[in-house]
Amino acid sequence: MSEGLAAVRAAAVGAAGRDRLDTRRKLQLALSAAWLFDGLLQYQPAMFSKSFPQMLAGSAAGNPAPVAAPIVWSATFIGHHLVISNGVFATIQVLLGLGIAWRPTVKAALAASVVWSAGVWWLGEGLGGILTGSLSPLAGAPGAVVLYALLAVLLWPADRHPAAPFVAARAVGTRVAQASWLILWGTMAVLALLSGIRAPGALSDSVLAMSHGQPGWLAWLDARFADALAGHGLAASIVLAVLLLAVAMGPWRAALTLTRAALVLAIALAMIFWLAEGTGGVLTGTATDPNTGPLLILIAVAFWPLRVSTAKEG
Amino acid sequence: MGSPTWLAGVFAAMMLAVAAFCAGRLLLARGVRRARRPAELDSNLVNLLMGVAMAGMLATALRIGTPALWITLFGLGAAWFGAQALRLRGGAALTPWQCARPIPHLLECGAMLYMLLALPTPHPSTLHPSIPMATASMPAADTSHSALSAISLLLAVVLTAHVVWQANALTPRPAPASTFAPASPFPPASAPAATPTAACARVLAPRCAICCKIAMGITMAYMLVLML
Repeated sequence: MSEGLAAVRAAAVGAAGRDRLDTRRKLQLALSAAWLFDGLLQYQPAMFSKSFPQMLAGSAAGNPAPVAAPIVWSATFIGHHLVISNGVFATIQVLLGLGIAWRPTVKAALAASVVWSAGVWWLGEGLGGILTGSLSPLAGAPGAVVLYALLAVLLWPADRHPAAPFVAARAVGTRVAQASWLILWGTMAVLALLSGIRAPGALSDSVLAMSHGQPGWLAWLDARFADALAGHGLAASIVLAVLLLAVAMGPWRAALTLTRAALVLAIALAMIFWLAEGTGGVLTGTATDPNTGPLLILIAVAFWPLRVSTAKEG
Repeated sequence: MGSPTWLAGVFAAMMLAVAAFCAGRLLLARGVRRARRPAELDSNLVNLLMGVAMAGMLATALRIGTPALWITLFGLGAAWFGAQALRLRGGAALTPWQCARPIPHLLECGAMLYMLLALPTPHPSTLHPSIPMATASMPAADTSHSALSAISLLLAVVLTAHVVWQANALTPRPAPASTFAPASPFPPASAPAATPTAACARVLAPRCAICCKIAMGITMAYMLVLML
């Protein structure tokens, strides 16, 4: 081995050591990639057409008037200034992604992402449909963008609790992180039991609706899933709610094995949701984000119990 | 309706800026080599070609060469970086003008080949030849388009992840002790700045180079997203 190559290898090893990322940073980078990808999706031709403000206005349906009125107003405003509005929205999301990835701006970008998410959750997603009673977790409730905000809080780069048992607790503490998990999955369990969801054909219809415009293999998969759910709305809702409640209790378990089992179940449910959501429609050219599935998986990873040595290092 | 022309123009301008930067790096390569810093001629050359090709795909007025020419060039690039990756895996020695991390360039060459091969060939009866990629419509959904969408999505996601990784690497870190440090984009803080070779090294602008890679990755991912 030449002297030059040895120097290269030594430098590479040194750089690898400096570059070693902890789990929280890796999750921040995954969140950053999600924002960046959302921004690129927002640049799609369909977003510069009238269908975008129509989609936004559609999220007002079923919401109470105080929630719906600002949605309709903003959709009308965006419709009148479509190209510039959408260009700005897309660029903001790209900048949020790059801001989280670049360490000097990570805090500012995470804080901005919370504000942006809150606005989009209301004006773009109609509060994720949680007040309409007709949107199930299989269709994306409680809204993808609120999960971005939750992740930004849980992955905040502060170490108030350096010995936290999982990454999500490092900034906010174990109790607050556990409470957020319980609220998230508990809310989804409640949503799964609402009257609009447990009707005989409600779940199958929502899954079937997601299959329109999808590539053949995904449409086929969703159609089979919808067939299996058809006529079993109540039973499916109850089973789904029980599974979601089991996940919600996961990080509260004393036994690590049970916690891990709950997190594995959470990841499995997230993957099922994602397929039922038609991967958020990203393959149709009309999606603004990949919907809740990938974000629920990221959140589950943030709650994965750390090894003792890793927790101490944190 | 397609994406606005100005958007494609912005991305095209960004690609031309990247190409110009890479051309500058290639011109300075000799001085840089004397400064015992990695010049990475191969990666700069391929990034220069990519910048020009992508600008042409985004804006018709900037189009140079035929698709066949670009396919040949990026095919050669992919073969070069693929061979480079295999050689590195086998423990072969590096020279300062070779890229130490060929996999991302292999991926970029692959993405360029995919875009050039997958885009519908302009035909007078179906598509005006002057319509650039950003405003052209993809063919109606069918089985082949479904498969292409999946590949486009996969490539766009991988490129997005690479962009994020690059942005993370942009963070200033403590300077390494070694003077020959291709793995680190930042020169030692105590490096002499008065000599001509050191000036060349400074013009090498490692942070700018990373920014160019980020811009190129975002543009490429954008073009792939348009193919969904």
